Amino acid sequence: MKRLFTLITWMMTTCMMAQAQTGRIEGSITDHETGEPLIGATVRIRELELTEVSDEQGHFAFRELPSGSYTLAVSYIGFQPMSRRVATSDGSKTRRLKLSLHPVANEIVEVEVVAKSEARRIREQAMPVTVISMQQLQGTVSDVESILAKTVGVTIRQTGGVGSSSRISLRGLEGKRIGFFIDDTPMGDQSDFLDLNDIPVDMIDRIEIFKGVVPAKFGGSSMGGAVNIVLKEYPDRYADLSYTMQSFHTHKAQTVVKRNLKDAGVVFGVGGGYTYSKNDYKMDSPHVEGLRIRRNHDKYKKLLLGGSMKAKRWWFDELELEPFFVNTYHDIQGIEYDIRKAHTTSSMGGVNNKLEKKDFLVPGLDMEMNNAVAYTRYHLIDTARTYHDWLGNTYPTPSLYGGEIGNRFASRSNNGKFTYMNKLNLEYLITKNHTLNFNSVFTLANGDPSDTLKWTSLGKRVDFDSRMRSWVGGLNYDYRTTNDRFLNSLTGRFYHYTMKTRYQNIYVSTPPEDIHLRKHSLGFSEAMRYRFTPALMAKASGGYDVRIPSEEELLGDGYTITPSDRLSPERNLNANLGLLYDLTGRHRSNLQVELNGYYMHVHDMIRFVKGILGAQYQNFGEMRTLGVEFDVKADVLPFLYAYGNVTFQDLRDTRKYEEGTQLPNMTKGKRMPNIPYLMANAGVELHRENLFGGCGHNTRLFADMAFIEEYYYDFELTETEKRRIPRTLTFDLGFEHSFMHQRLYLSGKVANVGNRKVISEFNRPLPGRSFGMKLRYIFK
Amino acid sequence: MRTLSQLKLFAVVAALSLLVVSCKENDDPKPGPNPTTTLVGGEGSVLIGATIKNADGSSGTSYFLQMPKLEGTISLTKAIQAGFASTISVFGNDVFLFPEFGNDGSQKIIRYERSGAGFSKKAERQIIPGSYPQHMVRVSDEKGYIPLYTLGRVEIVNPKTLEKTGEIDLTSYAHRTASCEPAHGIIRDGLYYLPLDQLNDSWMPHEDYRQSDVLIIDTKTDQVIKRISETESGLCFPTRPMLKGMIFTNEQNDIYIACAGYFGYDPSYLKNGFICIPAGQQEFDTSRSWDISETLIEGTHYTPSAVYNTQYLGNGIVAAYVGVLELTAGNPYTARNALAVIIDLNKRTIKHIEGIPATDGHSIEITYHDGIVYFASFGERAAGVFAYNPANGDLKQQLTWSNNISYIHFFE
Repeated sequence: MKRLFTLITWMMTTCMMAQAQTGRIEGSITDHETGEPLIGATVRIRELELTEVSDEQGHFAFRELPSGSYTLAVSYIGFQPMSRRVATSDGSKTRRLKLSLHPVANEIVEVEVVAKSEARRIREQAMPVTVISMQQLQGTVSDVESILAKTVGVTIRQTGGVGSSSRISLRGLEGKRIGFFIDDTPMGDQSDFLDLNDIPVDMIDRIEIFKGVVPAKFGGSSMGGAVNIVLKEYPDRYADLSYTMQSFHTHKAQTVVKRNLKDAGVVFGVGGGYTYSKNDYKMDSPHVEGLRIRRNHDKYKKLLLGGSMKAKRWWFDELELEPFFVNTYHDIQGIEYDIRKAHTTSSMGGVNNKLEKKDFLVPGLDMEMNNAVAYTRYHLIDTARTYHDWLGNTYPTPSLYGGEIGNRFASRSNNGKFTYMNKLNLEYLITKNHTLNFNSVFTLANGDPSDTLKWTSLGKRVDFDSRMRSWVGGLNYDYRTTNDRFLNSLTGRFYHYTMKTRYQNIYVSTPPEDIHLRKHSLGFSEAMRYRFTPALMAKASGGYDVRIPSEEELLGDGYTITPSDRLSPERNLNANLGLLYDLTGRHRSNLQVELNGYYMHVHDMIRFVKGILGAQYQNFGEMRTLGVEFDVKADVLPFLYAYGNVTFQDLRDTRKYEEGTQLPNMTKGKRMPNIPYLMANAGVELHRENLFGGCGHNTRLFADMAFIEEYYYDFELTETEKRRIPRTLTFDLGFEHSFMHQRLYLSGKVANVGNRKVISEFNRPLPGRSFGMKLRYIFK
Repeated sequence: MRTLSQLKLFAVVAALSLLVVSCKENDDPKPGPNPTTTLVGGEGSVLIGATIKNADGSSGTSYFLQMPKLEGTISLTKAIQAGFASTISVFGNDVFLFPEFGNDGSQKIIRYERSGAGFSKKAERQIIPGSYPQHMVRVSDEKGYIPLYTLGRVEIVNPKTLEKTGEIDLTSYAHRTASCEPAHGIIRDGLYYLPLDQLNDSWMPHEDYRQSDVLIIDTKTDQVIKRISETESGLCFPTRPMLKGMIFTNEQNDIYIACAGYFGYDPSYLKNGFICIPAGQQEFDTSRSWDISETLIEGTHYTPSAVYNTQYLGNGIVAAYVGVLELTAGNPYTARNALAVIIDLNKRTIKHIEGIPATDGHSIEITYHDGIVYFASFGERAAGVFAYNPANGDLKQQLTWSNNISYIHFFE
């Protein structure tokens, strides 16, 4: 600690000394009409040939300038350029400027839209959407899921520490139906091997969370919601290194390096991250009262490597190639008893390709295409021939071949999976008010499972090659009035999928059954937005969505999830109404107030159910949801930001009959089990430049609160001996301090300050209080 | 101005601090059932176990409760919630609740003391993880046997306190696996006859070991006296560990054991039926073994592919649920392939009881009380409990319920 203090003092002192004899020009650039910051505007000092780009708050800064008089030239697409003479007469003086650009009068609507901040543009879409912008992400120790968890309507269903499986729940719908996209590219099957927390927060520009109706450009693989992570556009030369140390022996190192070869119009980038955690937090045994256990077999290691080559002059406006490699190792932690050897490993490699071309083939037609190819090998190793209770007693596994995780067989799987995805988006601007959009998503997944030890153990082969193909085509028509007061978006989709495999019931000795599925369906959605005043708008949307089951849902995962080849696609009839009052850029409070109400009726909902001999995905007849979300955020003081939100989502069983019978359903009208129904988040953030003196420093201090009301583990039918997941109220505290004009960041966080016991899924204990520190340096 | 801002900041921090300290009620959340301090489970003299299954038939939630009479329908309002397919043993007014299979629910055996006003929790015992205890056989007031199905052991416990007093290790009797799967036994003449299911890793009998083993254990010394095996008939899977009615003695004190076979899952091997250890003997009488798979179920065109549950009524008559291969389609957990029948062990006949809906192989409770046989059934159009009078063949629906009745017991 003493060393840390010395380091901080040294950095502050050196900074002050270094700045003593130089001048400085800094300022902000805004849209003259709206007052919104302009992100990415170019500011040039002609005499010195120095160039800077405004950041996410519209800020720019030139440091260490010799005394003199300079010409500042400011330019930004869609705006009239301007120039201004600025003098730094005294070397120690800082000149602060407030510059505003006038929009070009005759630009078409598209350019006007681009001129808005991207976060706001997304917010003003017709669909219900929440955007977490860069400001909320910058420098934080939090991972992506922790950030999402603060969002209205979102809960994260974690099952353990770092690397544990978790599911995003949007308005009570979760799992595979919630689309996961990076830069609009669907992760699909890759989401089994690459999860949200693998994406370094520092690389993220913003997170878009669509609820209810999902825009056409995301295809049809999601229903009820989608999370799109948009990565940053980096400056010409950029390098970013960070290291995070957290409780429970958790270490994360991440780096991104970018280089722009301007003359060739090519940008190269490499990045990567390594995460290691022992996850050795203490937990109370859910079964033995008074038994406190330190987790001892939850080690997690993940290596993530990625590259990027982006060309902007090779006929396409943008051509991008991104190779990637992910390697994961994860021990399996026992909860009920002491698992000591079982673990999983996986390796995934692949290439993403993105092509963008405006005025493709004909004027007004914009094309965007993504291709992604990946190959994965994954393994479950479960060969221990004994298992242990928490008192240290040893027992033989039921199978002589071993298997300590609770299966009655041993495993040494070597499963392969090849996936290919093609996404095509064609947008045609008919007039400046009318846009037509065609969207196509084709996916191919070939599974190649092998586990000879398991087959020997069971006396038969039970996993087979699989071939799954799906195509979702969508046609979308957008109408926008000239004054942008009204926006309407109508979408129709066609879904088609086929699957070929074989199925062997684990109990049966008869030959395996051939499975050949071919299904198709239709869906539609309609969304509109009306702007009453520049700040107040209403949104209404509705739709009938279909989601086809994923490969894992149909075929299981080869070890813990059993096949469910008779799954039907799930269908969602939904309606959403919302009001948004947004003063961002219009008032210094930047107040945003949003109120949404929604209705969903889901047929054949696919849900994850644990059974006697394994978990499985199953269709659940019918369910309806009524929900209300309220979200408010504002800069209550120039240096103090505060937010709060509350979500009430009432999911009820609406099945008329018991499954497979004509008998009345006893749980009709009951609240759906294992889904939280009342959540709230609140927080404050204090941010101030040079709070502790010095210069070029920026400090953020924040406190967050998360509340989830007690909810039911099962349908609530009895008044006694209920099984409920207890209420949780947790607080996080943190800070971020940047030095050297946002080059060096030091941040820290205490999660779950009160050390509350947090339990998920009835008996999955989550970590208590934890600490984290992060050091980050940006080479600008 | 600065002072005002600091005050506002202080107010926010103070409000947050208040939130931190004002949540005492959540200091020690308990994930599991709370200890019972009052009577629970409802009033009455009939104990009912009820299950609400999920669509897969192999998951859901179970409840048990008491009701004054077996009639009408069930209200779960006062019921005690238990893990899916939790099993029950009853001795006098002692009710033992066993945990569900797997690791998700409570991992305890709980003894409730029952009165007409309800149940109160008196003792509980943490089980060995993954050991799958499903019933107790009471030897005396001080001794009970609890077979651990997947560990191949029998725990000896004090039924009142549930404290472990000893253990019988049976692993040496296992065929090619670590456990011999001790199923449901019976005590006769001071000896504990304990059938072994001898399963492979697919939870089915070994193809090279299609026989029925029974261990004979001296209840005084808790030592295995001998293993006897019925190898001639090819009948296997003797008794299901949660169903006490599948092993019984007749009026002559002969032990009969119902063998489930492969539950019809292997169409090439459908043998199932009864084996017998005559009174006074410690060996099988193979001449009394009966493979019922080739006996026509009177009133149908089917033959049984499995015995799911049995209840001895006297005079060689057994009420039973038997599985029918031809009725098995799709998910074996939900296929309604079980027919209620009356089996005559002496005449070797099987007769279908018309009017009781076909049910699935896991909703097959049978109880015999005051001359009436109560069949629980989870039929497609009707479900609940059906009362059958074997003397005159009268049948009526005694209780209506839209899902599975897993247990029925009449307290005296």
